[in-house]
This record gives sequence, C-alpha cells and structure tokens, in this order.
Amino acid sequence: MLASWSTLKMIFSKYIKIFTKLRYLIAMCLLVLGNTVLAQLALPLSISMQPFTAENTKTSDTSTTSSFLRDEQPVERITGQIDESSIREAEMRYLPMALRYQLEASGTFAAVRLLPLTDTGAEITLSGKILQSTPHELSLSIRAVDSRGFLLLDKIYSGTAQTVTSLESNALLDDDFAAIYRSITQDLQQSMKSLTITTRETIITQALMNYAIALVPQYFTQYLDTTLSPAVLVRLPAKNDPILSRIEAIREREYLFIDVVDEEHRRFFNELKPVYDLWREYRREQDSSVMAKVTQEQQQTSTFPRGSYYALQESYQNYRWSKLQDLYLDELREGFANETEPTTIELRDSLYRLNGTMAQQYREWRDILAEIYAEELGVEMLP
Amino acid sequence: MNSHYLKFIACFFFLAGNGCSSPQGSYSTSPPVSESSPVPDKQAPPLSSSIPDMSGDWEKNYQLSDNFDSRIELYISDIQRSFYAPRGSEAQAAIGRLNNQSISALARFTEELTRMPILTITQNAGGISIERELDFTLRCLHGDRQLVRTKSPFGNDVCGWDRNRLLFTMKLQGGLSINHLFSLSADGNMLDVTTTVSSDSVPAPMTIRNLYQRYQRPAEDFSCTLTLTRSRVCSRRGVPLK
Repeated sequence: MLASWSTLKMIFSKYIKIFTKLRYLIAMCLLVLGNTVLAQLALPLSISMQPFTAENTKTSDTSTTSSFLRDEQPVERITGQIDESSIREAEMRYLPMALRYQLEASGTFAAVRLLPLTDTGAEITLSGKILQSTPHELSLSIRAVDSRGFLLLDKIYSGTAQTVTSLESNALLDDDFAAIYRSITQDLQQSMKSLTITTRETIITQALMNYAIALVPQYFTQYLDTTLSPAVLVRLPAKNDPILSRIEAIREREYLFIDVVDEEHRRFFNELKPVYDLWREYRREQDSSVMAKVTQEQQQTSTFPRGSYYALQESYQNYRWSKLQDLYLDELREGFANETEPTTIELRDSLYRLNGTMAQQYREWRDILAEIYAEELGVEMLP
Repeated sequence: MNSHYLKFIACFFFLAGNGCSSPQGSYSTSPPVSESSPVPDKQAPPLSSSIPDMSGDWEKNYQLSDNFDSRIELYISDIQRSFYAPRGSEAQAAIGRLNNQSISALARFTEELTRMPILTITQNAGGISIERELDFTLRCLHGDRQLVRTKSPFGNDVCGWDRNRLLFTMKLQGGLSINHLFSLSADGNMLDVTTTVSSDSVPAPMTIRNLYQRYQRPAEDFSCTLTLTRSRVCSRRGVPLK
C-alpha cells in the first residue's frame, strides 16, 4: 500500500514539475482562448445586409440563347425558357432574408439587418450576388467585410435543393437551400472566432466613426488621411469624447427607422415564402415532367407508319404538349408576379412625411439626421 | 372527313395507282412552301410601328373561307393533271412517291388543324398571342426583332413578321411542316389565315385559306387574377380583390 502511494506521489510530482514549467504558456493560451470566447459572448457584432444583386439573366434556362437584330440571324429561344425577371427581383430581397434568419438563429451576432441602402455605420457589411437560381440549384457569391475594411468572407456557395420537412423546425429556417445558408453562417462564425475583445471594440468604434464621416464628412476630415484614396481613418476620438456620444444618439434615431424597415422586410418575407416555395415546387414538377417526356421520346420510336394520320397526330400532339408547357410556365410566372406585387415597399412616417420607395425614404431620413447633426455641431451642410 | 373528300381520294388512286411513276411540278393549288428557312432576306424592312394591329376577337367567316371539300377537289385535280404530264417530268417522279394513306392522312390532319372557329388576339410591342379555340395558343414574343426561332426536342419553329404578314412556321418530327400566315385586310376588318401543311411522305403541300371577321365578345362579369397559392381568383367587375 505504502509502495503504491510513493509511486503515485512520484508520478504526480513529475507532472507537477512539467506543469510548473509550462504554467505561463498554459495561462497565456487560456487567456487568449478565454478572450475570444468571452469576446464572442460579451461583444457580439452586428451585420448589415443589402438586397442581393443578380447576374444579368433574364431566363431561367441555362441553355445557350443567341440573339440577333433584324437583317441578321433570327433570335433563338429554347423552349422552356421564360422571363423570370420578376422572380429574380423578388429573390434579391427574399434570399438575404432567408440568410438573415439563419444568421440570427446562430446566436453569434448582435443584430442582423437588411437595409435598402448600404449601411455606412455597419460593423460587418455582408453583400451577396445571385449567380444562379433555379428550383434545383442555387449559387451565391457572398462577401463580408468589417468596418475596418478587413475581409471576413469572400466565397461562392453552391448547392442543390434538398426538401427537408421537420415538425420541429422553425418555419422561417425551413428552406430548400438551408444548407447553403448554414455554411455561410458557419464560415462567418469561424472567421469571427479570431477576433479578440480589443479588435471587436475597434470594429464597433470604427463603425461609429464611419457613420459619422458619412453623415458630416467636413467635420471629420481631421480623423482622415485624405492624401490616400479612398481616405483612410488614421485616428479615433477618445472613448469618452462627447462627439462620439452625440454620434451614438443620432445612430439610435436611425435605428428607429431601421426597425420600421425591418418590420416591412419581415412582412415581405412572410408573405412571399409560401408563394416562393410553391413556385419552386411547381417548377421542379414541371422540369421533371419535361425530362420524362423527352427521355421517353428519345428512347422509343413511333409505332405508326411515317406519313400516316396517327403519325402526324402524334408529332403534332408532342409539339403541342411542349408549347402548353411553355404556356404553363408563363402562367406560373404570372401567378408569382401577381402575388408579389408591388415589389417596392412604401413606408409612411407622419412626423417627417416620408414618401417614395423604401430606399428613397431611407435616403431622405439620413439627410434629415445629417441636418440635425450638423446643426448640433454648428457646421454648414455640404450641398 | 366527309364522303365527298373520300370519293376524290379514291378517284385519284383509281386513276394513278400505286405504281405510277410519271411526274410533274407542284400539285399544290397554292404556292408551295419553300424548304429553306423562312428567314427574310437582308433587304427585309425593319420591324417598325407599321406592324398591323391584329388584336381583337375574330370569328371564322365560313362563307368567305375555303370550302374544304372544294379545296380537296382542286388538290386532287392538280395531282391528276400531273399524272397526265409528260413522262420524265418532276411531277411524274413525285407521283411515284405517293401513297393513298399519306394523302388521306395529310388531308384529314389539315382539315382538323384549320378548324379554329374563334381567335382572340392580344398584341403589344413585346409580341403577339393568338388564342385559338380547339388548339393551343400561338405566341410570338418577337420584341424588337423580326423573327424568333424556337427549338425543342419536339420540333423547331420560327415566328415573326414578314413585312405586314405574321408567320408561324413549324418543322416537327416525322417530316411534318406547318405554316400559318396571318394578314390583315386594308380596312382592318378581315383577317386572312392561310395554313399550309406538308409531309415528307406527300410531295404536295396542302393549303387552306380561312377568313375571319371581327366580332364583339360579350363583356365578362368577372375579372380574374391568376395566383400561385389560390389559383385563379375572380371578383365581380368593379369590386376590388381582397
């Protein structure tokens, strides 16, 4: 018993010596690790998004289309092609909203907002481009930059539709391309893990400064190195600087408007989701029906003698069928457009009597805030 | 298919027989359809605002339109004449390729294809849509272009404007070709729809000319909107949709 006790003591003392030698290193590691973990919990950052842009594609079909002007070759269309500009237009706001709900659900970010214009005071700006969007495949180019201009994410995400229905799933997260949105969220989380509390504080302060510079640029030139193009922020005001407090107050006022915008975007998404899901479902059904018909035609030859009445009928009925498919696709598109119009969202603010589209009103609101701020600082607004 | 038409088919084959091999030119009573692509020549005038406005509701004028029986008589007569054409001519060679079933099939098919009693045409700068009773809607989304060619595994087609005439040309499987030519009368009250159907089993295409006149369709009490989630939603005219 005594022998085993002394053996254990020897082993422990050996490890204690190693630990004593490495304690500073371990402490350092824990500090860094703790800092980033704490940072993530204590100082989550906000994401500002804008509606996605889209590749200039008017049709959903990927087949080649050549066009011509008169006196040249005729324009060529492949049957099954339809003008999907109204759908693409809706997707430009619908897809970022779907991503936004995934980002929110991750619990990593303070707030995720979709704004009609670029948020000059964004801590993280996330922009996206729709490279391809069909009911079967989605390809997005996603880019995220923090307020310092550091690139957090720049990647193309592609995937095929996976229809997953779960009784427990959040209806807002339920999407055929949810895997793509999850990948984006994970990558963004990953790239943010390395940000310490100090870095995050800098990002937040710089975001505020960016906002102020955009609001009243003539006042904040002292913080900029204007010899560089574009001008670069060279120093920050002190943390207790009263100017920063004023900027924060103005920013808070802007959030009031952003909340209204946000509510409109949520309403838009909730209304569009059932229509959009149905559109994808119908398109997939239609595509598989066409595929089946074409395959069937390619595999079997007509049983009727060439030139006979039934052979002519068969030929015409096949052609008729393909034309009816085109008309059906067009009806789907029309039905989609009828249910999603108007695509511009109007807001009304009785206090400031804002008019026009959301983007116009947001711009107008910013101008009002800039005027208020300029008055407070006693500077002239630039025309 | 009526007895008259069958009688003429039988008559022709009684005279010509299946082993006939004497030829002549075209048997069509109308100008034959060119085998080449119906793309207009380089001198074709540009698509302009002078495009006739065919929009509206049209009903077939049976009195002015081709009588199918008479048409088939002429068609057969032409083929008969060609039978007596000098030996060695092209038409005689074509006769050799004929068989009674193909002629009969083409005639029956053409008769069915050209029924179209009512046409509803909508037209704008982007294109023209011809809704046909008993058949699918012909559409030509030409935009600012003169002709549009569409390809599909079931056939290729070309549509567009050839001067003042709207044409739809379809080349389908099994050697079947269909041409529809729409032209408006000078006063804009009559629409001429000339349909030519040809099959590679029959050397002579068949052409039927139908004339349509404008008519006033009774106003509908309901206005409908197509939606995805609720299908077609209709409301009484003047009452907004909810």
